[in-house]
Amino acid sequence: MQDVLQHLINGLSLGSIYALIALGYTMVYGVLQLINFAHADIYMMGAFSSFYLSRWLNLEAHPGMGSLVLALVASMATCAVLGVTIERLAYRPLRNAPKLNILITAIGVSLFLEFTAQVVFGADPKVFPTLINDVALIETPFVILKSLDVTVFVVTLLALGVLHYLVYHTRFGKSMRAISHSLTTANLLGINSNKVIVITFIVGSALAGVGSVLVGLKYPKIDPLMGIMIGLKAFIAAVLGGIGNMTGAVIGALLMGLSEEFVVAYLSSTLRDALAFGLLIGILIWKPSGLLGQNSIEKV
Amino acid sequence: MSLLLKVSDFHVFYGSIEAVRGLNFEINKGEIVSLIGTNGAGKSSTLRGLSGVVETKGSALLEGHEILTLPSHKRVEQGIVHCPEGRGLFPHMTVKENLEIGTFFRADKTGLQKDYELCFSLFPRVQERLTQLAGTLSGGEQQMVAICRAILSQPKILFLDEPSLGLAPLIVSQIFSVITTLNERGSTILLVEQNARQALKISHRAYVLETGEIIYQGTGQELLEKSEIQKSYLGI
Ligand SMILES: Nc1ncnc2c1ncn2[C@@H]1O[C@H](COP(=O)(O)OP(=O)(O)O)[C@@H](O)[C@H]1O
Ligand SMILES: [Mg+2]
Repeated sequence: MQDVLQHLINGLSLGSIYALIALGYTMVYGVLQLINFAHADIYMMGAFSSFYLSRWLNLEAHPGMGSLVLALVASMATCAVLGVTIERLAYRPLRNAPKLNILITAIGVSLFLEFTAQVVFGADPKVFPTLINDVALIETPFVILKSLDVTVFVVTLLALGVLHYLVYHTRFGKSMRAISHSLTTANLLGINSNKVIVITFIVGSALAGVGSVLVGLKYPKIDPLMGIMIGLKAFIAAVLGGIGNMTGAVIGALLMGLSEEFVVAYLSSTLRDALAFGLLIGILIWKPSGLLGQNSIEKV
Repeated sequence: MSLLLKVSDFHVFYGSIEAVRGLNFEINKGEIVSLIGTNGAGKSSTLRGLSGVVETKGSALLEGHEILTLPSHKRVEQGIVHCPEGRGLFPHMTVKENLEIGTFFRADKTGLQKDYELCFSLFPRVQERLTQLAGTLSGGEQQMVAICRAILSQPKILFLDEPSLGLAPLIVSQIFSVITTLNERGSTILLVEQNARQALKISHRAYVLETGEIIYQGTGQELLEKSEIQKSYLGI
């Protein structure tokens, strides 16, 4: 029974990474009612940018906080720039087009990034550098708390803390919540919605950038299609929590991480990915608006 | 009297549907002007078009400057402030946050403070509810918050869309008396109402809309006495 604690730690660690990615889906959905399928590939590009930066600066030779921060900054910046570019070039021109057109465009952008990455970076997996030393901080017969897991947690909490501040205590956050409720009303109140939408893409993409470095540290193998599965799971986590609801996305992601860890530990590891889709089907049947969602269902 | 807003050959479209068909009207500084008409006549569409949240054609000059080419948020900065039908509050935000949202573009701290004081003197109830979620307020209180939010956006011209809709008679007369007070303090108001009698009573001038076109215009008093208006809109 003691290993329950260990699985709890692992599950929360995995779930917090899902949360970083799920938030990007839910924030963009909140302001545009668009499922940004390219989000998972923005995440992938973040991993590659920090991979190349680390190689270029030979960060692996100096593992520690400094190297981690550099990799995080590179990844966040790349993701933010890419997110804004995609919004500007692909989504904004279709702002008033039927939802289906935008959805198909999002899938197109996603495929474009995946195949471009395969051509540019190569389709074979690359080994993500060890940017911090993974040592056991606490070691008992039952539980091992490793520095990597603690780092993942601390970085995630910091990122969520900054996000919380942005969303609840700044003009941007209040404007973003206003737009999520009603774009028309927000426009009537003098909010420059284009500006807020751009910042939403910056923040959501940068969070995915944080997630990509943490995943790189924990599961150090990256490839151009690495975003697909984790993106799907994060998306399902966002739907589970109620798409458009940020607290819901975090709760959904933690639930997803925990249930995945426990299913693998006590049932079978072959069920790892089946679980996510089982959850999705379950939500769509019993609670399509998600755990915390109030919005009615959108036909996609 | 100086001309504040001049609207010419103004059309509003929802896709291929033309909801407003070539309106011409004017609003002078310091006036209360009403748009009245039955449900679906195009009153709200007119306001939405002037605010820039639906597609339009034609011209609207605010103090001589064209506004129809500006994005909606710029129009608010220019002083076109719209208190929408159904109040448009954000139910999951506090009253305080709802009020702040209308002020983001303002830089004048002292002027803003004065406007807050004005709001709280008109509606003490709003000040008492600042920390409450807007969704938990009564309909009347929500309307008060919506009017305060509009005042805080520093309007040159204030659009009020059905401010009395669905409210108890006592609250309705309070809202109408606040409209009069605001006007006496210098505000210019474009009022849309189904409650035609009360609207005409406080209006300097009014336009009657039917299927997207102006069919009558005159002073509030003239229209109150006109027999066609009495029959169709005042239920006499
Ligand atoms: N979002 C919309 N899409 C399509 N038609 C609309 C929309 N809103 C209003 N209309 C149509 O425009 C006309 C005018 O509506 P509206 O301006 O709301 O009238 P009023 O405010 O005078 O009751 C109506 O025929 C209505 O059906
Ligand atoms: Mg209306």
